[in-house]
Amino acid sequence: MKTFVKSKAFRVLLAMVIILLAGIAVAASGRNNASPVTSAVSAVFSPLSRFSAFVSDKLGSLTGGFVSSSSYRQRVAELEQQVADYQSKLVEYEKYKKQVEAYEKFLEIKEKNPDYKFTAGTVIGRDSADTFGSFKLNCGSLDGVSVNDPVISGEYLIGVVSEVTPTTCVVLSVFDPQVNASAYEIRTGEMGYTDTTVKMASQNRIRFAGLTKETAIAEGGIVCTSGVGGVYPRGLIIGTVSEVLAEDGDISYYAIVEPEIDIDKIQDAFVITYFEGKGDA
Amino acid sequence: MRKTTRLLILRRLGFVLIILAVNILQNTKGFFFEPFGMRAFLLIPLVVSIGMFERSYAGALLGVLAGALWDSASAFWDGYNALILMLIAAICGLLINILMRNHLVTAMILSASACVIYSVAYVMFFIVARGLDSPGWLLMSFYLPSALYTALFTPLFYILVRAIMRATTVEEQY
Repeated sequence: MKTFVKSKAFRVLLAMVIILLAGIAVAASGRNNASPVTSAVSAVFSPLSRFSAFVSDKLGSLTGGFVSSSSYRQRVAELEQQVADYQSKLVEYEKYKKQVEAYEKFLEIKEKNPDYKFTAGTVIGRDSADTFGSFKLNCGSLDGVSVNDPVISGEYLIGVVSEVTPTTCVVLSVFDPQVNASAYEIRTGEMGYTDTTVKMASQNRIRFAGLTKETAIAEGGIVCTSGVGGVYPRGLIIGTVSEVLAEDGDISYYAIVEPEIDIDKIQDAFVITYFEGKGDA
Repeated sequence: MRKTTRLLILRRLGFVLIILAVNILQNTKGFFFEPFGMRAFLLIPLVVSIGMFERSYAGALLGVLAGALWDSASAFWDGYNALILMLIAAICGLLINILMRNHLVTAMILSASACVIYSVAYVMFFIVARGLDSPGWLLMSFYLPSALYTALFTPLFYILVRAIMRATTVEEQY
């Protein structure tokens, strides 16, 4: 015992105990609650701790992947199914929303014109060789459609039926030079007729011709069908006046009319199969 | 049923289905690319290719089908497209039989010519004959560019029709 107490090993051990106890005392009294020994050790060995924690984390995720891949696959399949369900519901919603909008327009026109009879149609094709915008609807003679029935989208006149089969009909658009309508301008009441040229049709413009040189029609005027002739009912909007010009070769004037509606983008339309005054010349 | 008959029926059915699909591509807005407003009259190069391989009679009948489908969307002269495409297919078949060899270059020449002839005929019958203005302008600004645009797709249809022919032809062994 005496020999051990006097030996060098005992002195070193004692010194270490004293240092550690001192460190504890310093840690207890200090602000950081960390002894100098701990601080020094952690400064030296913390990178190693961080590395081992990183390795442990990676190994954990690796083993986690092996263990639960089937549950991940199942979860992915469930989520994909959910997304597909939501997408189909969204498509249905958009379809019903469009239908409701179309029926609202239909109701609005029907309330203003109770004598109208309509058939609804969807655009199902167009002639690629025709530059004037003719199109085909999925309603025909079985739905009451006949040749020369006006075709509208909302309150706008967009064309006239030129050909009918039992289940489809072909519509000439208002940009076809063959389509003429007796019309009037709503503010001044001036009467005229609409037609167009090939070049104007390519720019989506129509002429409102037959105006006198005293015409008071100005830019912004609205041109509607007048009902004269019995082909189109009165009050269907054709377009808005963009300018008034003199005819070449005579003293009359004409107005350039631009329809508000883009016929190329129309998907649904109504064919007016009957209105009061139809066929009255 | 003999194998050759079976293959013949399959081939004709295949052509009918392709005509239906191409008609939808051509005559439905937004289904095919229209750069600078040019439109592709896809049924024309298809009918030319079919006529070159099926020759006069069968090619003409398939041309009538293609034209009739096109007429169903057309506002004017029902039967015009059926007649024109029938003539195109029949004439192409006759030319291959009598005068020309059947390969891609002749297909391009025949198709481009057919597209241009179709465009000129359309302007003559539906613009000039109706007394409309600016037929020359319309021809130069829309129909001829569309005809050339259409002709670019000829190799596609020629290769497709040739592949169907090769797949449905039985080599006679002597």
